[in-house]
Amino acid sequence: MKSLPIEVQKWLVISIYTVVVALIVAFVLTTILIKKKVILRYSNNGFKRFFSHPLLYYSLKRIGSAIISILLAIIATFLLLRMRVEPQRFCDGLFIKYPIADQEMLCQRLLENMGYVGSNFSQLIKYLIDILPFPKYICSYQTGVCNTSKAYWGLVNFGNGLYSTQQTMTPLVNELIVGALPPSVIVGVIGLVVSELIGYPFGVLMAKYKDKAFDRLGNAAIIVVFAIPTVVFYYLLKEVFTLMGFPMLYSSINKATLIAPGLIMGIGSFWSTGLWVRRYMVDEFGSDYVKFARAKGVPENTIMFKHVLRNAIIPLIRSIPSGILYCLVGSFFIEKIYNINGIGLLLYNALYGNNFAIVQAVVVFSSVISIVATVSGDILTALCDPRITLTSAND
Amino acid sequence: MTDIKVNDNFIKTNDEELFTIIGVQEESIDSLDTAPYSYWREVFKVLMKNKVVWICLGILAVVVFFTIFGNFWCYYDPNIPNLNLKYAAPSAEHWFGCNKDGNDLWTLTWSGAKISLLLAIIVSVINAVLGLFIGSIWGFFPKLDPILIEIRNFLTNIPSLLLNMMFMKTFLMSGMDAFWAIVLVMTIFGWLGLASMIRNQIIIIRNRDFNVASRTLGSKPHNMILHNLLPQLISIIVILLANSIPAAIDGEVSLSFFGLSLSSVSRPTLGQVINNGAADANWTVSPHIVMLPALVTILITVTFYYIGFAMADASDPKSHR
Repeated sequence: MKSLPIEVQKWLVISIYTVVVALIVAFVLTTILIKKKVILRYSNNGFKRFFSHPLLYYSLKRIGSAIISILLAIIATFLLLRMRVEPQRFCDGLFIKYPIADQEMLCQRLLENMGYVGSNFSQLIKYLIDILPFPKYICSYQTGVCNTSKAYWGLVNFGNGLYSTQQTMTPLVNELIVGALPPSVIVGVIGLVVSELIGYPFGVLMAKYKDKAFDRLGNAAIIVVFAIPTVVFYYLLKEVFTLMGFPMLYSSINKATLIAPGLIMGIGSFWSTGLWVRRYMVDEFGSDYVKFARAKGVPENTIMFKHVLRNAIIPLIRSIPSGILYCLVGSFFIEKIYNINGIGLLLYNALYGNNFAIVQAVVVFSSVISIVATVSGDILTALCDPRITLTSAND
Repeated sequence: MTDIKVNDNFIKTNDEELFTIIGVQEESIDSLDTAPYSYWREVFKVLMKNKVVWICLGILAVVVFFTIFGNFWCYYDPNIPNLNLKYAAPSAEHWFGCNKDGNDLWTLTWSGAKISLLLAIIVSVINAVLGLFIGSIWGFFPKLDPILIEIRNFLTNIPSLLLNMMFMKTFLMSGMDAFWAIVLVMTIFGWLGLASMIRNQIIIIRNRDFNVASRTLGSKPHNMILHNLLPQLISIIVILLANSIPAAIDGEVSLSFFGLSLSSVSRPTLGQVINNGAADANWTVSPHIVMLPALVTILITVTFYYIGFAMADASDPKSHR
C-alpha cells in the first residue's frame, strides 16, 4: 500500500472506505428496519429470517454501546494525561547537550510536533479527528513540517511520538505499533497453545480424581500460584528455564529465543483455565442427566468426555476469543523480562520516557481488543448454547 | 385394666409430695442453662481444626514480627552502602547478603515489607469500606444500576494494569508523594470489584422470605442491609478481604516492575527490592539478591491467601454443627 504513488493511494483508500462504510450502513439499517417491522412485515423468506435473527440485533446493539464506551475511554485518558501533567515536563533532560538559549525553542517545537498547540479542548478535537477511522493523510512531523517522504494515506493516526535522543525524526506511533506486533504475537500464540493444551487436561484430571491426591495437589498448587506476585512468578520461571539451557534474552536474529518466553506465558496462565474447567465439571456431576447415564451403565470415561465435558465447556467458550485476541498485546511482564521488542516493551519504554502518545495508543489499542473480545465471546456463547435466546421477556 | 393402673401411677407422680420446693433464684432468671450459640466462636473452632491454618498463622506471625522488629538486629543504614560487599553472599554479619550497591538486603527487605504491608492494609481497608458501602447501597436500590453498571463496563474494558500504570505515571509527574499516589491509584477503582460482587449477591437474596417479612414489618433500609443481608454474605466478604492484601502487594510489585513506585533508597518497598535485584543481570550468578526478598513476599501473600481461603470455608454457616 505504502509503495504506491500518493495520488493512487488517496483514491484507493477513499473508494474502498466509502464502499465498506456504505455496506455496513446498509446492513445495520436493514437490520433495524426489519426489527422495527418497517419493511418486509409479512414476508418470511430467507432474507428476512437472516436479518430478524435476535442474535444479529443483539450484537449490533452491543457493538454500538461498545463504540460509545471506547470513545469515552479515549476522551477520559486524553483529559487525564493533559490535565495533570504540564507539557514542559516532557522536555526534562532531553536537550541537555544543546545550548541553553536553544533549549526553549527546541522544547516548543517538540511540543508542537506532539500536538500540544492551542487549548485542551481544541487538542481533544484534533486528537479525536486523528483517531476516528476515516481516510486521512498521515505524516510524520519533522521540525514542524510534514515529512512527505514518510507520509501515506491511512485510516487511524495515533500521532507522533517523542524524539528519542538517537532519532532525528519524531516517529509515527502507528509504525511503532505495527513494528512491535510480530514478536508479541509469536509469544502470545505459543503461550495460548501451551496454556490450553495443559489447562484443559489439568482441569479434567482434577475433576475426575476429585478429593483424591491429584486434586488436592492441584488445588494447593493453584493457591500458591495465585498468591505469588505475578512478577516474582515469572522471574522464578525464567530462572528455571535458564538453568535448563534456554537463552536468557531475546535476540531479533534468532526467533527460537521466543520459545522460552512463550512457554513461560503458557505456564503462567493455564492454572485459571484448569480451575474453571474443574469447577464447571464438578458442578455438572450432580445433574440429572449424569445420574441417568450412570444408571444406564454408561462407562465413567464416556460420561466424563461425552456428557460432562461438553456441557462444562460452554461457559469457557466465552474466554476463547479473548485468549486469541490478547495474543496481539502479548505480556507486559514477559516482554520486559526477556527484552522482547513487542507492545509490552514499547509501553514500558514509553512510560519510562514520558512518551504519552504511545501510552495512549496502547490504551486505545488494548481497550478495542478487549471490547471486541467480550462482544465476540458473548455472541459465540449464544451460538453454542441453545439455552440462551437473547430476547428480552417483553418481546 | 392395666391402663387404669398406669393412670393411677401418673396421678401419684404428679403429686406435690414428690417435689421439694427450693424457692426462686433471682440471678438465674435471665440466663439459660445451655451456652448460647456464638457464630464467631464456631467459626474460630472450625478454623482452628485446620492444621495448615496453624502453620500459616505461625509463618505469618514470624514474618510480621520481623517486619516490625527486624531492623533492630543487623541493621545497616541503606544510605551508606559498603562498596566492598557487592553481591556478598548471606553470612553471619549480613543475614540476607548484599546487593549490587553493597546495601544490606536484610535491612532493605524488612523495611520494604513494612511499607508494602502498610500500603496493602491501607488499600484493602479503604477498598473494603468503599466496596461494602457502595455495593450494599447499589444492590439495595436498583435505581442506581444504570450509572454504576456503565462505570463498571467502561472500566472492565481497559486492562487494569494499564489503567493503574497510566494513573500512577500522571500522579507521579504532577508531583504527588509516591506512597499516597499508589494508595490513590489502587483505591480509585479498586472498590469496584467488591462492590459489584456484593451487589450481585444482594440482588440474589434481596427477595428471600426473611427479608420480605422484615420489610413488611417496616424495617429501615440500613437495618435490613446491616442485619439481614450482609451477615448472609459473610463468607464471600471474608474471602474477598483476605485476597485483597496479596492483591495489593502484587499490584505494588507490578507497578514497581515498571518503575512506577516509591523510588528512594531509604524508603524501599518489597517490589522495589525484588525488581532492582532482578534488573541486575548478575542475579542468576548470585540469586540471593532476588530469591530472599521474593521468598519473604511469597510467604506473606501465600499465608494471607490461604488463611482467607480457610476463613471463607469456616465462616460458611453450612459447615457449622
